[in-house]
Amino acid sequence: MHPEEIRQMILDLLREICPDAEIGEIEAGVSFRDQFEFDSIDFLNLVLATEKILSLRIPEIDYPRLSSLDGCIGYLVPKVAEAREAERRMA
Amino acid sequence: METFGELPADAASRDYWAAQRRRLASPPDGGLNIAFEAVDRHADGPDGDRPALRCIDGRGMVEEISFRQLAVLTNRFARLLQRLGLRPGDAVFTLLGREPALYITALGALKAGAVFCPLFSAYGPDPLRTRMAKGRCKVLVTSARQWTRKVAAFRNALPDLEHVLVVDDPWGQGAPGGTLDFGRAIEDADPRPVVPPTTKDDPALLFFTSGTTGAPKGALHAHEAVVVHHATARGVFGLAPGDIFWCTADPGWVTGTVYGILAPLTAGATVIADREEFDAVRWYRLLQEQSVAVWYTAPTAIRMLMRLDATAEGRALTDTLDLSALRLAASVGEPLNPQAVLWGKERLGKPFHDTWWQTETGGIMIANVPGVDIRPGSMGKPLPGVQADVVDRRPDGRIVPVSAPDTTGILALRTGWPSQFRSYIDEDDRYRSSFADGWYLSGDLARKDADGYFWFVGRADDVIKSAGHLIGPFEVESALMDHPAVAEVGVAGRPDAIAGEIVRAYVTLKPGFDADEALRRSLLAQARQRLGAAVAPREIVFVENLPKTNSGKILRRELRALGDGP
Repeated sequence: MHPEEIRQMILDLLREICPDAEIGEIEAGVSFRDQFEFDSIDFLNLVLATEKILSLRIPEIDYPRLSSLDGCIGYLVPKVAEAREAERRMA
Repeated sequence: METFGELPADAASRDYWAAQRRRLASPPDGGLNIAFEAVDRHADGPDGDRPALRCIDGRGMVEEISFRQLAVLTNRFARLLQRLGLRPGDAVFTLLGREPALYITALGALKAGAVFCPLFSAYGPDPLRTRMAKGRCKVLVTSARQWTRKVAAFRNALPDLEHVLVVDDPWGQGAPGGTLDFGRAIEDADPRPVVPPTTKDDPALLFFTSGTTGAPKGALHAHEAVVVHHATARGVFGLAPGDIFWCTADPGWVTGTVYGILAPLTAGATVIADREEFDAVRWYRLLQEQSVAVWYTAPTAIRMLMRLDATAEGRALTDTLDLSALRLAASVGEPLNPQAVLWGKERLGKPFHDTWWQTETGGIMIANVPGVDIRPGSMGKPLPGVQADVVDRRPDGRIVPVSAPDTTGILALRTGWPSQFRSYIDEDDRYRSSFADGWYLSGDLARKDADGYFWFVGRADDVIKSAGHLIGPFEVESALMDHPAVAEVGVAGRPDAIAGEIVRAYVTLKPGFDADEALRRSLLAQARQRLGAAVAPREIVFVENLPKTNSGKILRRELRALGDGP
């Protein structure tokens, strides 16, 4: 998946989970928590929805890496590629 | 202030509390002050140079403040309040995280004879305004960020608010107009000791708590509550000078103040003040790195830690943890499932000791205490001096203990324990109706087994417990009611494996509005802006009709049966 697709997906999810936040003005390098109202249940909902959409499992130990937009893109792009590669081999 | 209830506890309980009172530093016939017991008694003794606080900031930097230093800092804050014209009984509020200013404010305010009231820092403007108005907040200590984002806009609507002290935050915005710089004000203040002007019955702590109906209740406690703080710090947690104690609750709730600040300090323990929010990996590391001896946390966090530990990567971390310093792990806030108790034993080396108490009780009342066999899933047994029972209310108003074991009834306490709340401010009727026939009726339903262990069954009212936060449905409904599309709204909890319950709003729409995604977002956005993320609904369900009584009252208990809507 292209980084831009991940970016769009995360922004869409944020609009759904915390529609009060100004998602258009998000700073990619700053944690969600430091920019708008975003608590640990919101975060869990973001992770669970991401897992579902991308059909992959995100281990809890990696959760801190998803705390900002840049973090999500940097973590998910290779992760998705890896998962698709594994699927291809299985097939 | 007088303790309500014409039938006080029995002679044995009274003797027990009198003995606990004698353990305090203040002479029994003199004044009594929570901050003196928490700080000054240690500052002046051989433990004065031990750390009272170990503050950990967002970057992991650790700052220790000794009892002696804390005594001076709180003297300064108390004298600052006096200089600002504060009188005993005036209310000092905080809207802060677990940072040094919180502890200095809480303890300094108590020392000055003010009433201390902590606000939950994740609240949005609506809950903040309601509580500050009702509690007649005179001084607020907060961060520049919180002030600008949430409070400044309604300052003029708070006639009692005279001073706002702003703590410099990592963003370094400085003190905004109309506020004072907390750090500078403390530096400029007189450090000489303060003789606290209080006695046991003077008001000390104000905590807001939610009920089914109406605005939140302000439960007021007196300085005498420190008798229970100290007794439970010793009896439930076994705390002594030098112990490292970590209470993870937010200071905006009663647990975060009573056990996150006051009780452990009265025992001379060192309090971990972790500024950051929950993060499973960090928490595991903190337990080890800080050599935590006694840990007081909540079911939602425990379940999140269990989730991490259930993965291969998590296990790689937890397998190598050295938690040999951990002596006791305890839980509060909602019932802890038996699996979690046993998981603690297996994976942390210590089973979780569940405890039960409420804002109104002012301290732990029922617990699985050290040395007594834990019944996983049970809240334990009443502490010494506490007469708790499962009772029935008879039609003639009499309160009768349920005699058969394992029978559900109201969890009630015989009145007269030292940390019993003294009023709901400005709501005498509501206060009186929590008592009957010499009992305090907790609003929790419970059963007692044949061996005297208590088991939580449910709430007798409609309040929601989500991630350890007590949420009143009325407050949430109010934040949605004036949305132009909303005809009616009912709010209830939906069971959730992690958070216990998730707040869900059931909404009927006015004619001409479509139940679509855009409207759902608009409702969520309004609720979150006003209430804050922790209180606002996470889910909106559009329905045709809400279940009601013949008189038109919404039956919240039946909302759940509506499921996910059409």
